[in-house]
Formats: sequence, C-alpha cells, structure tokens
Amino acid sequence: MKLAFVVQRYGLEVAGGAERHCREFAERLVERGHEVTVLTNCARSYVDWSDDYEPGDSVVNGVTVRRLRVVRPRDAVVFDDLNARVAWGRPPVASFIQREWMRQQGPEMDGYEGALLDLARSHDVVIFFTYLYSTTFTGLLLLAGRVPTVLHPTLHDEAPAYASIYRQMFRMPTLFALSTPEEVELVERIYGVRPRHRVIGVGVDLAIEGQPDRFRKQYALTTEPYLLYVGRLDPGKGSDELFDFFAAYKIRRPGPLKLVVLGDPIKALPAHPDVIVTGFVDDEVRNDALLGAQAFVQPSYFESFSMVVSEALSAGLPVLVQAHCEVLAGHVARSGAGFAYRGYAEFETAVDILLAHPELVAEFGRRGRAYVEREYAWETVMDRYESALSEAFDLGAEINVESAVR
Amino acid sequence: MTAVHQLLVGASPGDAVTEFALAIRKGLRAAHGRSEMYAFHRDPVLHTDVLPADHESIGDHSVDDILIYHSSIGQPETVQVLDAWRGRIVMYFHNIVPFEYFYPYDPYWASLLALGRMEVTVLRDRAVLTVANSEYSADDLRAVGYDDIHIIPPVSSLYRLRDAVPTPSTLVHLEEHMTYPMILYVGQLLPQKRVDMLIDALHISRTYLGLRPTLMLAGPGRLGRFESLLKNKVRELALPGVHFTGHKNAEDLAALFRHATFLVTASDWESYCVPLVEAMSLGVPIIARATTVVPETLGGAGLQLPADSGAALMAEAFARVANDDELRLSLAESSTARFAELEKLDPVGDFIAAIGSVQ
Amino acid sequence: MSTPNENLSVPDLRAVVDRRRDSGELSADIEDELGAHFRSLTSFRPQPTIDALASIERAARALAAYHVTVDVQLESDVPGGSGVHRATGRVVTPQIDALIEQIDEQRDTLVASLDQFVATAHEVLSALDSFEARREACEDTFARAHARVNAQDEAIYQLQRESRQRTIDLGADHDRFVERMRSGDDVLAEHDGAIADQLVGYDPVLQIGGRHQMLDALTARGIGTVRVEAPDGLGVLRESGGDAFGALVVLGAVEKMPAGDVVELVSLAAHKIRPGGKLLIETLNPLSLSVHSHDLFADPRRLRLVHPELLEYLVESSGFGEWRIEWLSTGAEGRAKPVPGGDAMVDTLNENFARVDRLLFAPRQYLLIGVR
Repeated sequence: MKLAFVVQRYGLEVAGGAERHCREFAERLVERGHEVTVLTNCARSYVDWSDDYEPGDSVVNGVTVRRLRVVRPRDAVVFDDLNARVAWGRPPVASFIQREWMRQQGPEMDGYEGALLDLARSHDVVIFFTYLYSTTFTGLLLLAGRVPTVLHPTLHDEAPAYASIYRQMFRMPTLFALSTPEEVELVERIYGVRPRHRVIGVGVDLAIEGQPDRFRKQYALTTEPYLLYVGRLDPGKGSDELFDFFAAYKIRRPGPLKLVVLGDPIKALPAHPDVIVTGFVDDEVRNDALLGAQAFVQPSYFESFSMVVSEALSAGLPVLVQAHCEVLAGHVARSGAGFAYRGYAEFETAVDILLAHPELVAEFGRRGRAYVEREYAWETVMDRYESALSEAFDLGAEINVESAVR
Repeated sequence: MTAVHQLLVGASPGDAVTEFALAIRKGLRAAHGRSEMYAFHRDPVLHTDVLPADHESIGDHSVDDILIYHSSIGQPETVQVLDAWRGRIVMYFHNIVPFEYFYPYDPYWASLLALGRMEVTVLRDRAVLTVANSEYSADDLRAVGYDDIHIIPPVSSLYRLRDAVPTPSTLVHLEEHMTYPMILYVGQLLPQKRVDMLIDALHISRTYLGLRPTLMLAGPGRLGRFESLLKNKVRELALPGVHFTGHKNAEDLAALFRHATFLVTASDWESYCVPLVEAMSLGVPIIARATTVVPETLGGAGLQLPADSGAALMAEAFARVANDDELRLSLAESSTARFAELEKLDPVGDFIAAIGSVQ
Repeated sequence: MSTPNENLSVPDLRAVVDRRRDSGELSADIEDELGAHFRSLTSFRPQPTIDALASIERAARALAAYHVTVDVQLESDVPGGSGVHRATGRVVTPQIDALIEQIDEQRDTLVASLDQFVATAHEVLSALDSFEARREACEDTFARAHARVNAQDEAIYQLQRESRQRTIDLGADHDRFVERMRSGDDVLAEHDGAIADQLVGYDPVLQIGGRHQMLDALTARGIGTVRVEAPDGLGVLRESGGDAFGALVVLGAVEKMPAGDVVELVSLAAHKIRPGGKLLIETLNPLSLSVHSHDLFADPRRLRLVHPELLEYLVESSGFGEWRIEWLSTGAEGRAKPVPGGDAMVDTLNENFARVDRLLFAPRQYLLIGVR
C-alpha cells in the first residue's frame, strides 16, 4: 500500500514519545514492503517550531520525508497566555478564540493544504499522529471524505483535550488507532463518540541486553537493591511525588534500598543519600540499569501508553505504577506483573512485598515478559497495524460517526 | 415672589441629572425661598426630599411660577403634567440617548427615549428659556427649531472626588490585586457606552500586544440583560482581570482613580460624560473615542481617538499609554490643565442667573 | 498649550495596527469576529420563566417558614410529678393541640413542596439530557455534512482533471488524411508562402494550430515564430504579456474551439499584439454548403463553423483599426456543367445553376486579416 503519515515533528534526532512511535511504524512498514511518505515540517523542537532541518524531500531509513517550512515560529508570549485562558480555563470558550489558540499553537506550515491534497490523491491511506496540533486539526477536517484516514490520538486526560473544537475533529477519522483499551473509554468520555477503532499499542524491543554489574560499578553501587525510574524529572511526570514517597519509605524502613533516577531534571530533586540521579544516559547504560534493578517505578499521572514500562517488563522487571493513571493500571491488570499504588500506604506495602518475596519478584518478571511477548512484540504489533490499515482502506473515505448515547 | 420648581423623570442618587438638580435647588432656595423637586420615579432614599410629580403634590401655583423641566428621557405623564402647569416652563435639555441602542434589550425603555424626543418638539413654543448641557446638545435643539439656547454644563461638584477620602480597605485591596496597567471605566453599563468595545480592546491588547491589564468597570448595570451579556462575553473570551464592581460611592471611586493607569471611554454617544471631568479633577490620563459631546467636554485633554476607531486601534492606544511614561505624564498634565479651565466656570450660578433673567 | 494629540499622531497608531495585520501577527478580521460573537450572544432569547420555577420558589419559601417545635411530656416518675404535669397539661394541652395542628399543616405543605421540587428537578434534568442528545446528534450531522462536502469537492476536482486530460488522438496519419481533402502539396505550399510573406517584419509571431510547413515557411523568411497546438493557444495567450507579439496566426483552430473561447481569443489578441501588428485567422467558410457536408465532419475535432461576419464583428469590437477578408479559392467552384444552347431560357437556367453552384461550392476557407 501507499501510506502517508502526517506528524508535527519527524527525524532521527527528534525525541518525544508520539514522534518516535510514528517513526518506528513508518520504518517498519517500509521493511514490510509498503511505500511510505511522511509530511512534516523543519522543526526539531515543539517549543517554538523553528526551522532546523532543510525543507524539501529526503529519504530517511527508506521513508520519504517531505518537509515544509513553518510560516512563523511560535510566539511564546502570545501562546502561553492564550493557552492558560483557553486550554486550562473554564468552558465555554468562544470557538473563534479556540481556533486562534490552535493557530498560535501551530505548527502552521507553508503550503500545507496543497501538500495534503497531493498526498491524499496519491496515497491509499493518510495517517495522523496526536490530536493536539493544528497539523491534525486542519488535516483531518480537510481530508475527511476524500481519502481513508487513520488517527492515532495519543490521548491522555489533560485539560487541552477538553477544548470543544476537538469534538468535530474526533468525528472525522475513518478509523482510530489507539494505544490501549483505556484510550477508547477516554475518547468516548470526553468527545461522546463511540469510535471505530483498533488497539494497536507500541512495539518493544524483546532482546534487551546489558551488564548490570557495569552499571553498579559506574555508580558506586555494590549489592544494594534499587528501584529504577526512567524519564524526565518533571512534576507533571510525578517525579516529585516519587521522591517524597521514597524519602518517607527510607525513614520508616531503614535499609540498603536505593532509588536510581535516569533522566534530566527539569526541576532538580533535593539531595538524598539514597537517591542517585544520573542525568541523560545512552541506551547501553540504560539497559545495564534496567537489568540490575529490583523493580521499575512509573509514578506519572498522565501517560497514553508508557513505552518505558513495556521496556521494563521486557527486561523482566516487576513494575510499580501510579494507580491514578488508568493506562498504567491497565497494564498491571492485564499483565499481572506488579502493583498499581494509590497513595503512600500502598506504595510502602508494595515495596515491602517486593523486598521480602524474591520468588514473587521472579514470578512478576516472568508474567511481565510473557505479556510483552504476547502483546507488544514488534511482529505482532505490526501485523495488527497492517490489518488495521487494510481495514481503513477497505472502509473507504467515509467517516463513521456514532455518538455514544448516555 | 415667584416660585421656581424642577421636574425630573427619575431621581436617584449618583445620577448626574439628579445631582445637578439638587445643586440648583440649593441655589434657588437661597435666592427665592421655596423650591421643590418633582419626579415620576423616586429612589426610596430621596422619598422625603423629592416630591411625586402629580397634581396633588404640585398643587396650586401662579402663572408667574417657573417649572424647570430636565429633559433626558420621556415619560407618558410628562405632557399631562406640563399641560396642567399654568405657569412658565424652562427647558433644560440634557440630551436623550438615541432609542436604537436600547431597542434590542428593552423595547419599553427605547419607547420612552423616543417619546422624550417627541416631547422636546412639542414643548418648543412653551419654553420661556432654553438651556442645553453642551453645544452638541444645543445643535439637536436647533434642528427642531429652538433658538437662543444657553449652554450650561451640568457640573456642580467639581471637587467631589478630590475631596473624598479614598476608602482604606479598597486601597489595600487594589494594591494587592491590581496588575499593570489598571484600566478604569466609570459609567453605567448601557449599550451606547460600548463597554463591549472596551472588552474587545482588552482582549486584543492582552492576546497580541503582551499587556496583562486589569479592567475595572465601575458603574451600575441598570439594564440587567445587557449586563449579563457583557459578563457572558468576558467568560467566553476567557478573559481574566475584568471586574464588574457595580455602583461605587465617592470614597471607593477616589480609591479606584488613585490606582488607575488611565480612564477610558469608548462610548458611541454621550450626553456630557461627567466621569471625564472627575478624572480630570484628579489629574488622571484619559483615552477616549472622540464621539458626540466628548471632544467638547475634554477640550484639549486626553488621547482622543477618531470617532470611527475600533477595538484594534484602542488596544494599540492602551499599549502605548501603558508603556510610554512620558506620554502618560503629558496626558495627566493635559487633564489637569483642562480642569483648571473648568474650574473657572460656575454652572449653578450661571443657571440661577439665567432664571433670574426671565423673572 | 500643545495637546498630547499633537505629539502623538493617531495615524502613527493606525500604521502600527495595519502593520500587525499585514504581517499576520493580528488576525485580519479580529474585530469582525469579536463583533459577530457578541451579536450571537445578544440574539439568544431566554425562554420565559416556566411555571415549575415559580413553584420551586414557592416551595423554597415554604421550607423557610417551617418551624421546629417542642413536645410536652405528660408522664413523670417523680412522686406527684404526674399531678403537676397534668395540671400544667390542662393549661398547656390546648396550646399543644394547636401547635400539633400547625405542625401537621406545615408538614403536609413541606412534603408537597419537596415533592414538587423533586418533580421539577427531574423535568429540568431530563430536558438537559434530551438537549445533550440533540446536541450530539447535531455534531454528528455536521461531521457527516462536512465530509460529504469534501467528497463532492474531490469529485469535482477529479472531473476537471479528466476533462483537461481528454485529448482526441487521431493517429499520426490524420493530418495528411484531412489535407488530402483539400488540395495538393504545391497549392498548399503556395498558400503558406502567401501568408508568410504578409508577416515579414512582424516578429515575434505566435502560430496557433496549422501545419509544421507553415512554421517552416515563416522561419525560412527569418520571422521568429513560436508554434503551439490549437488546444494550448488560449492558455499561452492568457499568460503572455501585453504587446508581446508582432502577429498572431491562427490556422484551422477557431472551428475547434467553443464559442466563448473564440470571443476570448479575439479579445486577447487585441492586447497581446502590439499596435500595428497583424491578426490572421484562417478557418472554414460556412457560406459554402459543401463545407457543411464535407469538411466539417472529416475532422472530429471540428466543433462549429465561424461566420465571417461574426469574426469581423468580434475584431471590430475588440478595437482593431482595420480588417479585411480574403477568400481562399481552391478551385472547387464551377462543378456544374453548363447546359449547351444559346437562347434566353438556357441562359437563365445556366445563371441559376451558377448561383446554386456558387452557394454549394463557394471558397472552402477564408482568411481574416486584422491590423491593430
């Protein structure tokens, strides 16, 4: 099939969950013999969309990448205030103000509509990534009814999702490609639609190799067990809460347990003798750390899939996740490979159990591994995805709208 | 001894017409002894002070007695009362809001305004003396055949706000909560005042020009539905920093003016605009759309925007005045200078003298 | 005293606003959008108060009026206490009875008010539910309508593309087939030469339609010429600058164009040919009936014949200063054989035949020559 992806950033150097997710799919589809084009802009950073890459066509790992210039970089002064008022304010907000918020959020690309129509007329299916940006908003509204479309909303329960202009947009795609079963419920709840969908998930590398001793040596650890957190240190990701819980645990349960934090601090943590912050590390160090950990912790409140959790499960680690996040709780419920904790008491109990029952740790590790093999092996994920794309193609350019009746 | 009385349609404290009538009455009582105010609608606070406008209250009177009619809105009974008045009539025209502004919100109020204009035409030949509150108003009278019109602005208490002691708690509250610039509007929340344009200008200046202003709307919302609409507008534009304070007394107003970066008016139509005089008495900079009587009231003061200017230009003016200290200072000085000119006037005295000339 | 208005020019402010609009910083119709939004708020007329709300109000007032009262105990364990209670009771009981009556009344009112309140709340909530359902149905309808509009737009685009692409491909031999119906090569060469001679010094020349031999004849005389196929002629003319050409030669093309295009061609020619330049249009002559039965059908690309007087009219109204028509005789006239004999009847017969002959076999083509 000839497939087109539309995404707000793309490139080997682009970080960001949804963007990386898009690139993995695009490249693996090429490996399976499809022709893939990606329409995107020249930006590396979503903070201001400033041009970094060259405009025009290039080929990256077999994928044709078509880059358009951004009309103007984001004006933070204008956007930040509008964002606070519109996305984080109280409804109802006049729709022309919401559209202005969308415009200021960007990325507004030069010649976007023409390029999109060309794409629609020369490809079998057009696939959009992330609900939030104007690329998807303008794109879906333009292409609905002209060509089969697929939307990966990568939705989580955050304030901007509730802006009422998205209600129309969520009625436009031919098919939804969702990361988790929980995402379906979220779409229904927020937008009042029962979407035609497939739960695809994200693939994970099943062959994680490394040397745990190397990591211990590098960071002056001997035999101490450690909990591992991987990700930005960002209050939005729950890192502050994790630190507080860990500090409290250490007071109530003196012992050798450490917390290892692999990530860049947006907001630095206070110093603690049992907390080791490594800053950004490469994949080799990360895999070493994964393989030597006692358990993996994901305290974030807002996740749409959490690739790091699936990586931890693939490495055979039990996981401790934030129960307030339905997606994380869903992984634990389906895998049976750890605990979802709500509040400190449950956190403490879970850690106690893990430290006291090595046989349970081993069992969790086995279950976690079986879960990712079954659900998230790349072969499996791509089979599901190809079948979803074929389904979208067969459905044609119609939209299938059905409001969820309360 | 001829008695001189006054007839108003509505008497309420804080209303410009009422305040001026009370000031005139003081002068009349000093000059002539008995002088009453009659009104069809009286705020309860003024029930003992102002008499009902009916035959019983007005009672017997001589053909030499004078009744000053303050024309600012119509009332079905006005013509009846004036017909029954056997004495002489003085017309004081405060100008009447064009009824089109009210029609969408309150057709009855609109019909009273239209009625008021008709009354003015009908009374032309009975008026022994005609006074208008401005040249602008006088032109309306001339258009229906009046001539020999005295111009007397309805300003009686020039120092009301200057002499008021700002409410301490209000001052503290303002200091803690106001952002910069603090934009002040004083006036009723009525359609012709174009408070909607002020809100639009606020939106543009905040969203595109980087200002983070506070807008204080100090005045009563007599037209309930219209006030709700303005509040809905603010809500749907998701605009923070807009405060509907309601009616404020002199002390609170003094506090507001003390903190204001500038006073603004966007009115399509004004009859005189006393708040401009109040701002000038305190040396506060003014931004105003120069429509109807506003240039006459302001003279050379303030940043006067063309009558056809819209919200975008007004927003630009907000930013310019907020950011340019020199400009702001020079606008403040122009307010003070204009006030000095107004201080030389003696409207009440002139009015009493004009009455005296027909006795 | 100089006023601040003199120091700060309002045109300055206006210029800043315009600049912001032009650069896209400020969206161009922001004032209109704000105004339209406010009007949409003002045009909403709330429903008149429903009776239920008034009854809620009554119920709420009744609730406020509900008093709590105390009950008086008549029994006592204290010796003699009962007697005291009884004595007191005799005095108090009537009052208590009255109180109890009041309580009963108030309780009934209260219960009725609460019932009414609950019923009204149900009504309001179910109205909200049905409103919500209708709103969602509207959203679905809008979404479908939007997609349908897109689909139709796409269908129109496809149709337009196909019609542009539709070319009639008659094969390489077709031109020679058509020419065979005209005359021999030397006649044509003479004809090409005659036209080319008229254009010496009139370069650059745009040749629309016609054969390559014509192009050769022109270039042989040193006349800079560009030749385009008949279907592309109008497009090329549209995109040319004013006074771009010394002459425009349109050969066997206007009979292949829709009427509107012919009108546009002549009108454009008036602007794209420089003053003093020439317009040459050669086409089939409808005044010759054999053309209608013969030439018109030989080439399926021919749509309609263009009357010479029509072309003259178009040329005149487009502003050409002078023009003339040349009939291109191809020697096909005079096919009828004269009746022999010399008397008046034979002469008249022959005259009539000659007239009919001329009508049937008038010159098959004409050339309009206009000078701008």
